[in-house]
Amino acid sequence: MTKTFALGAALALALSAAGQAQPAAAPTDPQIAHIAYTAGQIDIAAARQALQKSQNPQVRAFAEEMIRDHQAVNDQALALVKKLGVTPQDNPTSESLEKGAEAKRAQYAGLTGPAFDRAYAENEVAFHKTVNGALQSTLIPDAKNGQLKSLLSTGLKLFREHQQHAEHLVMQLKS
Amino acid sequence: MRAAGIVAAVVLLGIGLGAQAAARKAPAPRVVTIVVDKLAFGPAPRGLKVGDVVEWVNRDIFEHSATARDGSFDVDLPAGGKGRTRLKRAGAIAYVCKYHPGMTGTLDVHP
Repeated sequence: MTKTFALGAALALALSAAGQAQPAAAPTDPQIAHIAYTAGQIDIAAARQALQKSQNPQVRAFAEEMIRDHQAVNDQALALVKKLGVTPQDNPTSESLEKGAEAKRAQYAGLTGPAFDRAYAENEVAFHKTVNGALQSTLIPDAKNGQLKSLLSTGLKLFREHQQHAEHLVMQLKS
Repeated sequence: MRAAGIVAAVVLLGIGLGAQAAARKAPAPRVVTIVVDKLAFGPAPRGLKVGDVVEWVNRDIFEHSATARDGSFDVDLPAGGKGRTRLKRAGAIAYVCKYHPGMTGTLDVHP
């Protein structure tokens, strides 16, 4: 639980730190697209690790759903940036997210069985919560392009469902 | 011979009427559509009856399911795909997408 909070805090810090580094400048659309895409890729990588390590059918079904849904959103995001002629731009928030996720994957590599399942499920709750907070407070309001805003809003709706599903999974693993 | 002919005609008529009645009694099942879009189930049609068929049309880019909470049906709906459920019992049947638990609805089925 502490670890979960630590990750959530790290991500929140990363997101707000990026904001503080450029207090006057809201993220641009190419940066927002990059952050959202990176968050999706991070969750796909976490799910792939879960499929490699977990034998729990509920955990595996959840991981498969994460890969399927996040891949669908990211495919649409790539199609949109191509259509708009926008190149997603790397930025400190994306880098922090990726660095934090790499550290988590390395940490979880050492876990097995129910310990891994619990850590993965709890982290999925925390991760989606953090990303949803960022989408709601920063990324969606700051997006200039209407189609990008709309895709991010669909993403927020989807990730809220994922958060709820992850919360159910945590409860199931406890019982 | 003539009497036999009349009997045969009456019998044939009877069979014909019977077949017509049977055809009236078992009409083709009514098919109603529920659209799934933007991570939500569209409104469930009113006046549903046992024997009706619900066609679930998934317009999302995500896979969904229509899963009855009482276990009476569980249909997977691929992204952009369809699925069908025949209503087998009357009552209020609550359903959910098993992948996205915030997506819910209720079918009000009459006998």
